[in-house]
Amino acid sequence: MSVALIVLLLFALLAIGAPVAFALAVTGSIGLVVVGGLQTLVGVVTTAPLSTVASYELITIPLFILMAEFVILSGVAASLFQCAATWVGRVPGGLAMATALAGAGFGAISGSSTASAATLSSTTLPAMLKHGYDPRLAGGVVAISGTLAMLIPPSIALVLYGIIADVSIGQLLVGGVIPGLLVTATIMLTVLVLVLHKLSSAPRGRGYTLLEKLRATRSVGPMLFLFMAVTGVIYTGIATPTEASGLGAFGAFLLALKAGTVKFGTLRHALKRAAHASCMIVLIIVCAKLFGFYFTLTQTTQSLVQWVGDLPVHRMVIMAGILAVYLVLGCMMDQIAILILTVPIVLPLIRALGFDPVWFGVIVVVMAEVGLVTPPMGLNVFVVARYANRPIGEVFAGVWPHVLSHLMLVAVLVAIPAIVLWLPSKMAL
Amino acid sequence: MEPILKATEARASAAMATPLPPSRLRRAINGLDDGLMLISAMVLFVMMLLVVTDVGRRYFFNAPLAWAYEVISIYLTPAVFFLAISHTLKSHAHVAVDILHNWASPRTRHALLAVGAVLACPVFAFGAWHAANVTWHDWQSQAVSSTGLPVPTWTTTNFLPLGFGMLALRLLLDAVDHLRSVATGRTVLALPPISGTEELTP
Repeated sequence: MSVALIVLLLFALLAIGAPVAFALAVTGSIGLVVVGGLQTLVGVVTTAPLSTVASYELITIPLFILMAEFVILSGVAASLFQCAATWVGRVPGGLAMATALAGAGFGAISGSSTASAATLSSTTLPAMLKHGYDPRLAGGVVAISGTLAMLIPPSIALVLYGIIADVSIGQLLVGGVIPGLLVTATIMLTVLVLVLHKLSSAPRGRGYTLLEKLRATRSVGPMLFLFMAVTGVIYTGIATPTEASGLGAFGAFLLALKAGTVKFGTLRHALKRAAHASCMIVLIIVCAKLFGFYFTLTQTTQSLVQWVGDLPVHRMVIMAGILAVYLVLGCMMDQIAILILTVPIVLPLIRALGFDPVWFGVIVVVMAEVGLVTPPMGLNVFVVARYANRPIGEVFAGVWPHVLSHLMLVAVLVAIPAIVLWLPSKMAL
Repeated sequence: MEPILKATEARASAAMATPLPPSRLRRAINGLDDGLMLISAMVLFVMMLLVVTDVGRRYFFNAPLAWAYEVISIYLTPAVFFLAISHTLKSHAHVAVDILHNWASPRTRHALLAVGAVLACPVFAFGAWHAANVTWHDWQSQAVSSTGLPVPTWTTTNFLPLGFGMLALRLLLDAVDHLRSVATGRTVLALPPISGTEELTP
C-alpha cells in the first residue's frame, strides 16, 4: 500500500469526524504493519507513548492550561471587556476595539481560539449590538479577536511547536509578544478604517473619567501583572518556561483563592478541564509519533523535503506555498492538530531552505489563525454565528476586511523577520 | 403532505435527541473513569505544587528537590495523561474535525462516529495488550528503572496499558452504541456537541 493511500485514509477519517488522535493512530498502525510487519508495530506501540509522555518539558502544557483555568475561576476574565470599554469606548468603533483588547487579554488566558470566540460572542457582541453597531462589523471583530488566543503569551500553540520542533520555548513565547501586539493593533486599525470611511456604522460610546478608568483597571490589574510576570521571568532568564508555567499556575491559584472562588467542586472542575485539554493534546502528539514512524520508515518526509528543495523556484515562493497550505488547513482544523500534524514534516524543509525555526513558528500560528476566519469553512465564524444567533454570511461579510489586513501583516512579518526575532535576540540566555 | 412530513421528521429527531439510560456496563466503566480522572486531577495539582516548591527552594535556599525532576517525568506526567484518556473521550474533549457533522442527520452522525470507534478500538486494544505484557514481564523479572530513581520498572510502565485499555473499552462500548443508534433510529448514546456549542467558559 502506498503512502498516498494511507494519507488519503487519514484525511477520510479526519473528514468523518474521528478524533484527530484516533485517525493518526489507526492510519499510522496500518502503515507500520504494512511496511514493517506486526512486530514493528508492537515495538513502537509499547515504547513510543511512554517515552513521549515521560518528559519534564511536557508539563509546560498542562500547567499553562491550568493557569488559564484558575484565572477564569477567579472571575477577573469577565471584567476584561468592561475594562477595555472604559478606556477606548469613546473612540469611533470603540466597543469593537475593546473587543480586540479583550480578545488579546482573553488570549492570555485561554489556549483555544474557538472557546475564546464563544466567550467573546456571549459578552461583547450583545453590548455592541445594543449600542447600534453594524452587526457585520460586530460579528467580524468578535470572530477575528477570538483568534488572538494562540499568539499572546503564554501561548499553548507556541509551547507545543517548541516541543515538537525542539526549538527554545522561551524564545518562541517572547517572539510572539510583538506580533501579538501588532495583530491586536491591526484589528483595531481595520475597525477604525471601516468606521471612518463609513463602511460600517458604530456610534460612539460614552466617555469615562480617569478615576472610573483606573477603577475598572484595578479589577483586571492582578491578572495583567501575572501574565507580565510570567513572560518577564522567561525573558530575563530567571525561570525556564516550564518553571514559569508552574509559577504562573500557582499565582493564578492564589488569585482565585483571594477572590474566594476556590471550593472543592470548582477546584476539581478547573483541574479536570486542564487535564482534559492536556490529555487531548498529548494523545495527538503520541499518535502523531506513531504516524511519524511510518513516515520515517518509508522515508516520506525526506523525499518530500528533497523534492521541494530541488524545485527551481525562489525559496520565498515555496514559503508562500507553505503558508497557503496552512491557510487552507486553518479553515477546517484546530490549530493544535495542524501543528502536530505538519510541523514534523515541514520543519526539516524550513531549515533546509535557511529560514529561522522560531520565526516560522510564530508565522505558522498567525497563519492558522487567519484560516480560522476564512470563508468558506472558518471555524470561528461558525462559532460566532451560532452563539450570537446571526446568519453565517453576515459574520463572513464582517470578517473579510480583517482577513485582508491580517494577510498584509503576515506579508510584513515574512518580509521583515526581525519583527519576530528582535525581542528573542535580546533575551538573557 | 408537507406538514405531515415535517411532523414525522420532528418526531424522528425528538426520538434521536433523548439518549437511552446507559447500560450497567457503561455505568461501571464511567464510575471507574471518574475515579481515575479524580486521581489525574489531584496529580496535576501536586505537580504544580512540586514545581513551585522546587523552584522556590532552588532560588531562595539553593536546595532544590533532587528527586522532583525524575518523579514528575516518570510518574506524575504519565499519570495525568494516561489516567485521563478515557474520561477525556467521555467528555468529548478529544478534538475532531466536525465540519461534515454540521450538515449530517443524527443517524448519519452516529454512523460516522461508529466507523471511527470501530477502527480505533482494535488499535488501542492492541497497544494495551502488548504494553500490559511488557509491564507483566517487568513485574515478574523485578526489573529496576534505568532512570535516576532506582524504582521497580513496572510502577512506571503500568500507566500505558491502563490508559489505553480503558480507552479501548470505552471505544468498544461507543462503537456498539453508535451502531445500535443507527440500527434502531434511537439515540442510545448522546452525540458529541459540534465545536463551538460546548459549554461556555464560566
